[in-house]
Amino acid sequence: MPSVQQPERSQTPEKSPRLPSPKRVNIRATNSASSIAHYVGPCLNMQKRAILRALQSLPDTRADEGDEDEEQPRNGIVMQQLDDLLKATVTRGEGNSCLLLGPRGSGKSRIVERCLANVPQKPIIIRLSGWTECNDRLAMREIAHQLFQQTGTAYSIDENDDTDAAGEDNPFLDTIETEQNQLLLPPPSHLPALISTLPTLSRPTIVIIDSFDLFALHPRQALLYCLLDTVQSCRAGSGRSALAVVGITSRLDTTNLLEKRVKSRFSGRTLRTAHPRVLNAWTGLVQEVLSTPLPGNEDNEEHVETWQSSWKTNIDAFISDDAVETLLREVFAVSKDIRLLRNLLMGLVLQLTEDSPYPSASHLSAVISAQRLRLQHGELHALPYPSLCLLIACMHSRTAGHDTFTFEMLHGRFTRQVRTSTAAPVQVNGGSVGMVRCPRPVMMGAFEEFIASRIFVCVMPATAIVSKEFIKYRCTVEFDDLRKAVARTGHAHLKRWMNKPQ
Amino acid sequence: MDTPGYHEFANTINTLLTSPPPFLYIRDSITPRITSHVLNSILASAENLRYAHIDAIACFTPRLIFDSVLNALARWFPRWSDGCTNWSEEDASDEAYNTSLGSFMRGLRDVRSDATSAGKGKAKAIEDAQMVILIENADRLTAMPNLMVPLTRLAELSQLDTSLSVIFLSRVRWEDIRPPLGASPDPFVVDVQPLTKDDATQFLEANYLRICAENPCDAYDPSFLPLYKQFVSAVVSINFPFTHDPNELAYVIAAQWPHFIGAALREASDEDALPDEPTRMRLLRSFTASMTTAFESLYPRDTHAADWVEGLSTDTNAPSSSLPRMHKYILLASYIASSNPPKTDLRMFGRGLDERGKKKKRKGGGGARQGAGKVAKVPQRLIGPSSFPLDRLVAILGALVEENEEYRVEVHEGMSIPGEWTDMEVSRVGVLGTISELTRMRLLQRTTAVDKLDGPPVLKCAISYETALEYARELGVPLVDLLWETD
Repeated sequence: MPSVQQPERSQTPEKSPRLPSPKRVNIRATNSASSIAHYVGPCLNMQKRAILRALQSLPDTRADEGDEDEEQPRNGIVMQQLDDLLKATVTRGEGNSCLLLGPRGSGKSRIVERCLANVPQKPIIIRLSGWTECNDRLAMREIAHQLFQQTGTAYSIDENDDTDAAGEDNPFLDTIETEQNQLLLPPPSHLPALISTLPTLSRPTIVIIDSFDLFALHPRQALLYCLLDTVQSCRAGSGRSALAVVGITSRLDTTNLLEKRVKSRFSGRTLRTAHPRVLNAWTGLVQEVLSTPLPGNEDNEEHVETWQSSWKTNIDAFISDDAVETLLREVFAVSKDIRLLRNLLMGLVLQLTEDSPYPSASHLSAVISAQRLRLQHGELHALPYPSLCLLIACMHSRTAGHDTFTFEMLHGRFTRQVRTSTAAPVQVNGGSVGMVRCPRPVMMGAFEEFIASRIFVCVMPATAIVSKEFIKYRCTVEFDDLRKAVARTGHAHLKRWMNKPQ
Repeated sequence: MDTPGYHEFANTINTLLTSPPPFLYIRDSITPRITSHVLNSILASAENLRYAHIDAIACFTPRLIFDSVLNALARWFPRWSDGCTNWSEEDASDEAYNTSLGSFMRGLRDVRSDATSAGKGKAKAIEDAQMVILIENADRLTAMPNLMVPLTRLAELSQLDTSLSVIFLSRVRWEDIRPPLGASPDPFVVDVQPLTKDDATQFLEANYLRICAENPCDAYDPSFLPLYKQFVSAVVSINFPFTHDPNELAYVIAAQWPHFIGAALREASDEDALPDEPTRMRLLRSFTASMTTAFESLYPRDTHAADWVEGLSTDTNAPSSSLPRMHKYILLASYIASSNPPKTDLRMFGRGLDERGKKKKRKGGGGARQGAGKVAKVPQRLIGPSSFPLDRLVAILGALVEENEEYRVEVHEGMSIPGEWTDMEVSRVGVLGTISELTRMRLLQRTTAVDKLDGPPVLKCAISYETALEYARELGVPLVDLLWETD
C-alpha cells in the first residue's frame, strides 16, 4: 500500500471498502475494551463535546496542500478578488456588481462573510435572500427595514411625506409615529426611489443577494434592474457613496436568466468557487477536527493527558487506515460537499461508546450507510404482522402485473392466503398451524398508517365519489428490501408466502 | 423519566444538544408521539437552552408558526387578561414579527439578544444561550412550500449560526419531503429504533405508575402493580403482533383493566389482598377472548372504550334491514349493475318468452383465464364499483323483480305479455323517487352533476359485498348466480 500522503492516486480502490477493516484496528479496539480505565467515560464525553463544538464552525479546507499543479487555491483567488472589489467600493466609491457562483457547500457565503469582516470602514450591509423575500415587495420592505436598523433613519418616508404633502392630510397617519415606524410599506411605484436613496447615504452600501437566481425569476426583474442601474450610475469621486451588489447562487445559467436591460447593467463579473479537488483536503480536515484538544481542566490533569495521548495515537491510526481512506475516497468521489463530511464526522463521533471509544473504519462505514447511503426503508422488519402482510400482498400484486392496487385487492390476497394456509387439517396443541387471521378493520388501520408514512402513495386524485377502500395506491417498498426484512423477522408463514409464486 | 427503549436515543440527543447541528431530522415511523414526548423532556431538562416545540398540524399557517415559535423561545405566555398579545421587545417599534419571514428572523434575533441580556442581568452571563426549534409532524410543512426551505436553513438565514438549531420530527423519510432542486441542506438524520416487546411492556408499566401518582382512583393503586404486570404481559403477548404502538395498547388495556381488577378483587379470599396464583391464571384465561375483541373494536376506533365496556356496538357498516322491500331491490340491482360488465346483462337476465322462471345457468369466466404474458384482469369487486346509467339500473331492477316476485297478473285485465306488469311497476315515479332518496342516503352515488340535463344520470353502487349478500338473502335472490365474476 502506498502511503497516504501521496497526493495523486488512481481512483480505483485497491479493495472493496465493504471488507472488514484491517486487523490492526480491531486488535486495538479489543485491547482498549479489555482495559477500560475509569477515566475513559468522562474523557470520551468531553472529547465528543469538543469535537461537536469544532464541527459547528469547520475550519477552512486547507485544500489545497497537496495541490501542486495549481499555485493558488481557487477559493483563495475568489476571496482576494471579492475583497479587492468591496474595498474599491468602500474606499474609492466605485459602483460594483459581481456574481459568486459555485456548487453547494463550496464556501460562497463563507467567503462573503470573511470579506465583509475585512472591509475597512463599516459599510451598510443589506442582506436579501431569494428564499425569504419571494417577491419584490417583500424585498423592498426588507431593504427599508435593514436601512432603518443600520442608519436609524427611515428613508422611504420622504416619498410618503411628499405624497402626503401633495394630497390632503391623512388623519389616520400620525407623522411622529411614522418617523419610527417602518411598517409603512412603500408602494411599488416608489421602488426606484428607495433604491436611488442608497448612494445618498453617508456610508457605502453593500447588498448581498443570496439565491440570486430566484430574484431573476421575479416579474420584470424590477429589483435587480433598479439595483444594478444604481450601481452603474455610481461615479467614483462624485462625493456620493458607492454601492456594491454581490449575488450568490449555485445555478450556472443565472446570467442567462437576466433580461437584456438587466444584463447590460450587470458587470458580468463572475467569481467561481469550487470544492477542493483532492482527497487530502478532506483527510486533513478530518484529522484537524478529530484531534481537537480538550479544554483545560485542573481536576484530573493526568487522566486527561493520558487520554489525549491515546486518543491522538488512535486518531493517527484511524487517518492512516487504508479502509478509512477508501471509504472517504468513495464519498468524496460522489459528493465533495463539506456539509456531508460534517454530518459523517458528527455521526462518527456519536457512535463512540465506552466499550469502543476510538473511531474505526467499521464505525465510518456504519455512519456512511446511515447518513449517505440510506436504506430505502430500514425498519421494515420491525413492522407489525398486518403491515407485513399488506406489503407481501402488494409485492404479489406487483408480480401479477398490477402496480397500483386498492385496499380490497390486498385484503383479498391476504384472506385467500389465510384460507389456503389453514386448509390443511393439521393442529398443534389444539390450534391451527395456519397463518393468523386479522380482522378487516385492523388491516385497514395498518393500511392507513402506510399512507401516513408515505409508503403507499396515492396515484389518483382523491374525490369524494370513491370510497377509501377503492382508492388506488402505489407501493414504494422494493421487493428485495421486503424479502430481507421478512427473512429477518423469522416468521415462517410470511416467509413461505413471500416466496410463493402466485 | 427514562422512557424504555429510548436510552440510546436520549444519549445521542443529549450529546448533540451540547452543540447542535443547524438542521437535524429525526425519523420515527412507528411511535412518533412517544419520541416527541421524549424529545420534549430532554429539551426541557437541558441547561442553557430555550426551545420551541410546535406541531405542524396545529400550526398550519406561517403566522401561527412564527407566533408560537417566538412566544415559546421568549418564554412568553399570551394571557387572556393582556389581550393575548404576542411577545415583543419592550423598546421595539410596533412591528409585528409575524408578518413575513424577514420580520420573523428579526424576531428571532431579538429573542436571542433578549435571552443573552437576561442572562447578563444575573450573576452569570449566559453567553451562548442555545435556541432549538422542534417541529413535530414536519411532513405537514409541505403544505407551505414557501416556508419549508427557509426553515431548513433558518440558522444561516437569520445569521444566528451556531446558536439556533432546527429539529424536524416526522414519520416520513426526509427523501419524501425534501424540497426540489436541492434547495435545503441535507440534515443530520437520526433514526429512532423501533420499540421491542419488552420496551412496550415496560412502557405500559411505567404508564401505570404515572397514572397512580397523578390521579389515584380505585382501579389504579400501586398495590395492584404485580397483578397489572401479569395482565399487561398477557395483553401485550396477544396484541403486540398487530400493533407496535404502546399508546394503542394502553388504550385497550385501560378499557379492560377496571373490569379485570374488579373481578380479581371479588375472587380474592380476603379484602385488600390480591388473589393467589391459580385464580389469577384462571382470570387471565377468561379474559383472553375479550382482549382480542377489545383490540379488534378499539384499535380501529369502531367504538370508544366507554361504549365498548358497556357492550354497545355502533357498527355503522351493518346493513340496515329496516329498509322497504323495493329499496333493497334497487340496491341489489345497483350492486349487480356496478359489478357486471354491461355486455353480460343479456346473458344473465335475458329470457325467451317461454322460459319464464327458468334459470339460465351461465358462469362468467372472470380473471381465471389468461394467456401467457397477459396481465390478469382484476375482479371488479376488488377495484371498486363501476358507474352505470339510470336506464340500466331500471332494466336490471325489472328483471330482478320479475323473477323473484309473485304477481297476480290475472287481476289486471289487458296485460297479457309476461313482464308487462313488472315493467309498469318499475317505471313508476315512486321508484325514481326512491332512487333519488337512496342517493341522498349515500347508499347510491351519483357521479354526474345534479344540474346536468343531457343523458341519463349516472350512478354508482355504494354498498359493500357483504351488505348486498345480506339483502339478497332477505329477498331470496340468488345473488352469486347473477354476478358475472365469482371467486
